[in-house]
Formats: sequence, structure tokens, C-alpha cells
Amino acid sequence: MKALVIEDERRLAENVAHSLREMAGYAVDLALDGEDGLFMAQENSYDLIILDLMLPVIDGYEVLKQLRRRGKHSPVLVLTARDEKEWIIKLLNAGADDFVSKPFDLGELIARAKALIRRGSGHGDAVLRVGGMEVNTITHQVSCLGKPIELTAMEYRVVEYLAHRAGAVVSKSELLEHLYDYNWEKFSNVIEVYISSLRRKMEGNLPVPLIHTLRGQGYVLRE
Amino acid sequence: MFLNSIQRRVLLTIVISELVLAGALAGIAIRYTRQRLLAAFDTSLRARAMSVAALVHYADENAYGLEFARSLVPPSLEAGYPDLYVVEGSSAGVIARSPNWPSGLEIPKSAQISRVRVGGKSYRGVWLLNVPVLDEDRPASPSKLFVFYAARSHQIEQQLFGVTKFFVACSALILILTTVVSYWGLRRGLLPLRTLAEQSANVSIRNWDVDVDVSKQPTELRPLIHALNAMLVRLRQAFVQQREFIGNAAHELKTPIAILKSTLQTLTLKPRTTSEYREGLDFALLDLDRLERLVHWMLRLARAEQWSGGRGRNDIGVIDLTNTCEEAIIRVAGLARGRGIAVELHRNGDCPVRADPEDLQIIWVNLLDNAIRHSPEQGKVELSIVHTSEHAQVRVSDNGPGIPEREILHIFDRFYRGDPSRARDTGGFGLGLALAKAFTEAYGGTIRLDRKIRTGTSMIVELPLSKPPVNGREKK
Repeated sequence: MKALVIEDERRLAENVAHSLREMAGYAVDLALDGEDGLFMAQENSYDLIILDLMLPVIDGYEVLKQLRRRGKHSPVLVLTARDEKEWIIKLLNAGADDFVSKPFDLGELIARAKALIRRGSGHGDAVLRVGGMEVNTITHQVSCLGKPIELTAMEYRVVEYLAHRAGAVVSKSELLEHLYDYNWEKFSNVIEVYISSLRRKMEGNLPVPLIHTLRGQGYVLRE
Repeated sequence: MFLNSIQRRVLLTIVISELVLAGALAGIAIRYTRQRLLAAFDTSLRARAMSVAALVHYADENAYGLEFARSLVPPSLEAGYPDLYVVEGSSAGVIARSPNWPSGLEIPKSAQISRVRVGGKSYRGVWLLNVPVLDEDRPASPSKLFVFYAARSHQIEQQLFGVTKFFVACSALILILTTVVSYWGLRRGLLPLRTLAEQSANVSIRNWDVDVDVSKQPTELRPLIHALNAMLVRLRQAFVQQREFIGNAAHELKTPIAILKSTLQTLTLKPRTTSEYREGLDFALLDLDRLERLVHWMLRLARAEQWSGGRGRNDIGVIDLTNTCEEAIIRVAGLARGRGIAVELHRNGDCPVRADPEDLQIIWVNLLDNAIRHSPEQGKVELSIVHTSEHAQVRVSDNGPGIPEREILHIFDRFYRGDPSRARDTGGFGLGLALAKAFTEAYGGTIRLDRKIRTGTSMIVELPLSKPPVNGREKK
């Protein structure tokens, strides 16, 4: 999962990014003004955008409206210092999915971020189930037929992303884009390494393989 | 307190005046009446004395013995009647006395009215001196008579007492009537004051008007209403300014608090190593520093804005403006060097102004800071001071890209940040130009952007010069 944080206060942006990486296991990109934020949000596909409103160059409300006008439907969580009812209604009507008012609680922010991502991928429960596999997005525990399996942080990110997109074909480049921060060097062969490692850890505990390779297209997680 | 009311005071004044008037009038009237009554009484005394004298005649045709015709005395003057009389002849001595004449009573003969007390009762009496004996047969009377007649004077006192009672009763009645009328008139007269008070009581932070039609108010109240309204306008301005400031401040404080909170929460989200905690706490201290600086500058701005609005401060000495500019240039020297920017100072002569040098430095540092940040590398920032006889003009200009048109209106707004590059001295809170404006205005000056300049940005500050002493005219 990958989030974009558009926030001009560098320290706040870094704190939010840090806890999203650490507590939710997301890849996070930062934009320090509205113009950068709008550009990055258009160029990449994010699973979540966290948007501050008081931004230099282009303010957050304008960024939100332009994103929606240009057909970007990533969930947007707004950070606002104003919490008057009229303003919140205006924000939600302009396409925001949720908001937290400053000063906010990081735990709450992460929980709302997870909920938005869940909703964005069409799930309700925080535990994603495919075949006999369960992915708990809160504790980051993965189990096969009730038996927990040990995964590295990157392996978990891969399996969580695939589980969110269960049934759909996910290309290597899509996986790369959603698992790594903007600045990382991206080599598609690392994906193959993670996939094979995941298969090895899961398949001993499952009657049928869940991760299927579609040659030339990518991977699909299904029964 | 009873006298703590205009109405009562005026009423009391009216009542006292009326009492004085009534007292004086009654006094004069009673005195006059008494004189009249006494005159009438004395006249009647003389008449009665005369009628007593008429009862004396010669006893014999040829002799001079005098006889008092007691038989002719009217019954009313007989015993039991309170009046006193005595008749004496010029040579014959006492001819007759009233039966009730007390023995031993001697009245000295005099034309004056005399007061006599007989048996505890006061009498008023009169002597008729040298009255000829009225005898038809002896027209040329050789003997003269002296007649004294006195009557009880208590009737006069009784009459006077009656008159006095009448006057007092009338006065009291008039007093009561006029007091009632005055009270009613005063109440009506003071009604606009009451209305004004009611309207004033309705003034609140939601309603800033004293809702009365000034042209319909009594002339005495108009200055008060004007003063009230003028005061309300000033209060409202101050209130709106304060409320706006508090709103902005509360809003602006949320972000640094959010930063600090998120820094600390990041630490608590899961167990950390000691070095991670230490690093986190260092960050928290940095965040707290920033919060502290924001509060510091907000308070400084609030104070500066309090001074502006016409009420300059006169409790400070005269300083040379040029010095403060030089100090400010020293303060931004590090930043300028870092960006390879030359800061030039152009000046001609001293500029005495009445100001706190620290405040002026804040103005120049903020303007210079902005100019340096917006200059291209190796650029040039100029600070030039010129002055007329009245004003000093300080111009800070750079050869940067200039301020975008859409931002010009907002550059002096509190907490407005045109772009992400931040002024260092005021912590990048968007307070720099707002502070510069507030301080300039606190000293009766003006600050503006020179919009005629096409390249770069040029800010102009004008401050009134402190007047040199008039005697030292140094022209020529």
C-alpha cells in the first residue's frame, strides 16, 4: 500500500510518514506544497492521500478539487485546523473521504487511513480472507488454515497488497509502485524473489496454491 | 442614597426654593397685615377714648368742677367688661376710672402706644392728651382732659394667627401641587435618559449600536449619544481586531501543537530503544522551541497592534534611524553571505525619530530578510534612507522576481505565507510583514509596496521625523 502525504510542515509530514511506514507498513511519499502534491498525485496512483489544507502555492482545498476533477479517485484524508461543521461539509462534498482535525492523534490517523484503504479496495473487515489464508491488517499477522506463518516486512507488504486486490491481475510494476517510496531504485526482479519466498512459506500449509503467475501480465491471488 | 438621583436633587431644589419663597411671602404678608390690624386697633382705641372723654362735662354753669356722667357710660363699659380707662382733668386730677382699674396702676402720659399687663393679660392702650371738655354750654373750655383707654390686644394676635394659618395652609397646598407637577415633569423630562440607558443596556458583542434617533433627542443628550457611539465604534474595532487575532492565533497554534503531539506519539506507538527515545525527545524539544517562538512573536504583534490606531507612544526617546538600519544589516549579514548577496546601505545624514530601536530593527530585519530570500544568488539588496523635513523614508529593494499579483493584497496579513521559503527571524510563521506594519503604524508611519517598480520588489516605510527644537534654526 502506498500513501502520499501533502503537508508543508516538514516535521509533521515526516512524523506522519514515519508512523505510516512503521505502524501500517505503507510506502509513503512526501510533498511539501500544493503544486508538488498535485503533480505527484496525478503522476502516480496512491492507495491513500493525506492532505493538509493550508499549503503554499496551491492550497489543499484546491488540490482536492483538481484531483477529483481530473478523475483521481484515491481515498483522501484531510488534515484540517478548522473543524466547523460548514467547513467539514464543504470538504466532504468536494471529494474528501474523511478528515482529522489538528492536533490529531496518530493512532486515530493510522486507523482511519487503514479504514479508507480497506473501503477503497472494497473490503469491510480488517482481516482479509482468500481461500484458507487470513491477512490481519491490524496486527500484520498472516495465517494459513489457522496456522500463523512468519513473514518479513516486505513479504507482508506484498501479500497485503495482493490480498486487497484479490482476484485481480497485479503487474510487477504495479507492485513496485505500491510497495516502494518514490525515491527508491526499482528493480522488478526483487518482486520475483518475494513471490517465490511467499509461495514457499504458504504452500506447505495450504491444499492449493493461492498465488498464480500469469505470464507476461503479473500475479493474481485467488483460490 | 436619597440624593443619588438627579430627579430627587432637582426636586429637592425646587421644594427648597418654594419653601423659601412661601416663607418670605408669608412673612411679608403677615407683617403687613399686623401693621394694618394694629393701626385699625389703635384708631378704634382713640375713638373709644374720645367717647369716654365725651362723658365729662362741667358740673356747674359757672364753676370749673368737672363731672363724669357715669350714668351715661354704656353698659358695655361697666364692671365685668375687660377694657380699662381713666380720665384726668388738667387740674382736677383723676375724674373717673373704669371699675376694673387695678389700684396703684399709673400709666405715664405719652403720645406713644403703651402696652400694659393687668391680671396676667396684655393690654394695648393710648393716651389722648389735652382734650377739651365737650360741653355745649361752655364752648370755650378752660380745662383740658387726659384720657387713657386700653383694650385687650389678644384679638389681634388671634387674627394674626388666623391669617398665618391661612397662609401656611395655602403655601402647603401649593407646595404639594407644584411638587407633584415638578415630579411628573421631571420624570417626563428624564425619560429620554431612561430610554438611552435601556438602549445602551442592549449593546453587546452582537449588537454594537445604541439604537436611538439622535435628531429626536433633547440637545443635552446629543453629545452623550455621540460620545457613546464614537466609543462603541472604537471598542468594536478593538474587539474585532482582538477576536480576529485570537482566532488566527488559536488556528496557527494547532499546527505546531500537532507537530509536537505527533512527535511524542511516534515514540509511544511501540517500544523504542534508548537512543530512539533520545532522538525523539530532541525532536520534541525542537518542536517546542518553534511553538515558543510562535507564541513570542504573536504576543509581540498583539502588543504592537495595540499601540497602533493613532495612539503612538510618547514615552520614548529620540534615536537615529540610520543606526537601527545598520544594526539590522549586521543581523542579516550571515544569511546574506550564505546566499552570496550584497546588502548596500545608502544614507544622507541623521534621521532623528522617536522610537524604540529594537522595534525599528524588527521592521528592517523582516524587510531585509524577505528581500534576501527572494533575491537570486549573487543578487543585490539595497536599503536607502532619504528624508524630507517631515518624514524619513526607508526603501528596501531587491532584484528578485517580485511579488505575484494575486499575493499583493495579502502580504501584510497575519500568518499569510506566500511561498514555502520562510523568513528566519520571525520563525517562518507568516508574521514578518504583519509585524513590520504594526510597528510602523505604532510610530505613526506607513508601509507599502512600491507598485511602480517593474523588476524586483521595493518596500517603502515612512516614519515621521522627531522635530528638532524650534530655536535652533540652522538654515544657511
